[in-house]
Amino acid sequence: MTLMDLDAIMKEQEAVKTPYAFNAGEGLNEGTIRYMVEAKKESEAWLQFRLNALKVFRSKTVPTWLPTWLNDIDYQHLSYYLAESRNAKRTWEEVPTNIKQTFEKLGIPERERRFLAGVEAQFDSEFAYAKMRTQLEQQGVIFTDSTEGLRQYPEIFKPYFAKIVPIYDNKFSALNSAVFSGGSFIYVPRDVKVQQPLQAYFRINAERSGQFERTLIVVDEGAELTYMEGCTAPAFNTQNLHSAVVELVVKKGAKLQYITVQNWSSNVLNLVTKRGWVEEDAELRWIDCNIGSRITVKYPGLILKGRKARGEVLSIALAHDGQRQDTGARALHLADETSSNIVSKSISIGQGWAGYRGQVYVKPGLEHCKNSTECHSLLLGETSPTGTFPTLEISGDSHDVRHEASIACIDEEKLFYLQQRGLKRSEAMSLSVNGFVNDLVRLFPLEYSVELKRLIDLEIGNAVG
Amino acid sequence: MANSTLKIENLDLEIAGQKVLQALSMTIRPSEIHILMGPNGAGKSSLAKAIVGHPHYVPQRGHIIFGEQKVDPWTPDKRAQMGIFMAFQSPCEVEGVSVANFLRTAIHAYPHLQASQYAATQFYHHLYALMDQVGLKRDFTGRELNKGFSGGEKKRLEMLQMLLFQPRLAILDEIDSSLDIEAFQMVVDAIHCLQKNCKTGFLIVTHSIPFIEQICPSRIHLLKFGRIVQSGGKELLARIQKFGFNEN
Repeated sequence: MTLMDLDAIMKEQEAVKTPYAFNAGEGLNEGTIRYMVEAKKESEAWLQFRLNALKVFRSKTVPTWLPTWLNDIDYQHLSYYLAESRNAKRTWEEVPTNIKQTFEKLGIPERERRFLAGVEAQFDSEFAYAKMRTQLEQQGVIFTDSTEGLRQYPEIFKPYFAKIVPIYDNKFSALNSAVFSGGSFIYVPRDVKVQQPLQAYFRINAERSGQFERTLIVVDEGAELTYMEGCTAPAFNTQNLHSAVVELVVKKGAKLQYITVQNWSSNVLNLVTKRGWVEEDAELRWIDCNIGSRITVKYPGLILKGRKARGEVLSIALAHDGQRQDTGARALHLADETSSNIVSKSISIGQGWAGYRGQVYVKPGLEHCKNSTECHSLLLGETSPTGTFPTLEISGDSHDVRHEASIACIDEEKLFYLQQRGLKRSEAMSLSVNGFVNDLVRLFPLEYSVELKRLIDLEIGNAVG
Repeated sequence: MANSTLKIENLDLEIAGQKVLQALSMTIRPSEIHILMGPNGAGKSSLAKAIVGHPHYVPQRGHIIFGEQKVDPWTPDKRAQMGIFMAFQSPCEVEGVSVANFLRTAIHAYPHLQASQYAATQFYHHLYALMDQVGLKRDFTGRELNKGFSGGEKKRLEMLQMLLFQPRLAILDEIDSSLDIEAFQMVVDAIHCLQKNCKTGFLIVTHSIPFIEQICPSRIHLLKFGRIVQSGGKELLARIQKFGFNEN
């Protein structure tokens, strides 16, 4: 597959014309929510939850550090619930051909055969396909969507739902809470170590629509999981909105790795709240790559609640002309001897804005907490913009906190050296940029590092020609 | 193989209002080794960079002709692909890019090497043989390009690339500085190897008389104030040795 093929698949592929069995229509009001609750056969309690969230959403404004045009999103001309079917299929044969073809072109069934322990594929508002290996089912692993998770396993999921990211956390968490649909609900029982990754794939297909998946993962004591998500959409001239909420719970001694490769088309507004709760001696690692979207607002969070809890946020952001990657991290240290590691690498091409915004907080009275934050920006144009906005609130004198930041233009002498060895300028630039992010990329599963490298080559190729 | 004679005709190069090269002409035929000597600031490295197409060293007048084609409009990568190689005095460090990854990417840029025809195992077989030849341990393939290399190791890697890419013209800018005796001999051998097997022409910038004596050059040029003030054979070397660069 060449890079151009990949581009065609990822972004320029036309939307599939599909008859939606469920369609809440355009606009956001109580009627929209009543339609969803009816379609999903949810209880009165969820209706009230959603209606309350709608009120909170209406009462909140967009955070002041973001571009003011985000206040002008036309919520009344978007569709909030579109589904071909309410029930995810458990074999690809049952998935409607046109939807199946979309996922085949993205290579999902092939990856599933090769190295995944389970796949969920969301098409607009609901999963079109969901399947996990039988062995994991037998071990008690739950891999389902938000509606089914809350309906079938309330004792597992309800204690955490909307507790880690509350409705009122921010305007977009409230929006998600009002109209959430789809997303992965995962439970890994005590001491079960899932060897191969579980993967979810999110595809927005319909023009002027929103996708509001809700993910909640609970990894029980001593258990381990790697979860990966990928996102794409066809490029439309009008806006699409993607506003997810992700809540993670990593219990005592457990390990969770959460990997995102976000390649939305450049008309998607990607406004996402992600946060993880980490208990004693547990470990959470966020690996977050943002290549696509018009704007991404995302600061994956660590709530280090138990003694010796550890967390990492490793992020790569790339913005070309017209894009803003407002990404970063949050680390809240709420117990002794907790440690966090944040590494952010951003690449600004032309007038694209990619930077870091973050918060590190150590609660007063704690001892021996550690944080290391590194933010590195690489600028590919002489006037490319970036920004680093760290906030550190630390009290106590036994902590070890470091912050390091660098901004560099791409080194012309380095490009010249590589060109002298026969590489085209765009190849030299790709190689340098891939080198810049390499220490993070090598932490990915191989299939994903290859995909990410291709995406970077493609972005640089488009920008440099 | 196509004609790979380098002809430099009346080259003028000015940088920030300073005349760096003035009406410089020179011809290097296949298998010839030309030495460029001269005091610091004479324009030796500038000439090297102008030939390989560094964007800050674009001549105002004159032509560089390689194999009967004007190279002036060619980008640095096109010049490299056509067989013009330069070993840098201080090669850049490229973080996150392994030596092996870089070499495998670069070798595909050279049509004459037909790299796409070899399997990866053949490539490594060939690469390891060359690494032995230039005295680099095999674990260097996994190191980041030039990063944390000693001066000598950088020079060895430059020689490795020269041998791998088999250029038709090689420009070596002070390749002999910071070399120990063993590496010194390795460089001399590498030059003679390409001269013999690939008919590579050389332009070598150096201050070292023992190095020049080992190389057996075809011609020696003395560059001062951007002009070639003298050209000749070994007899010129003897004069420079005796009187320095100041004798006219």
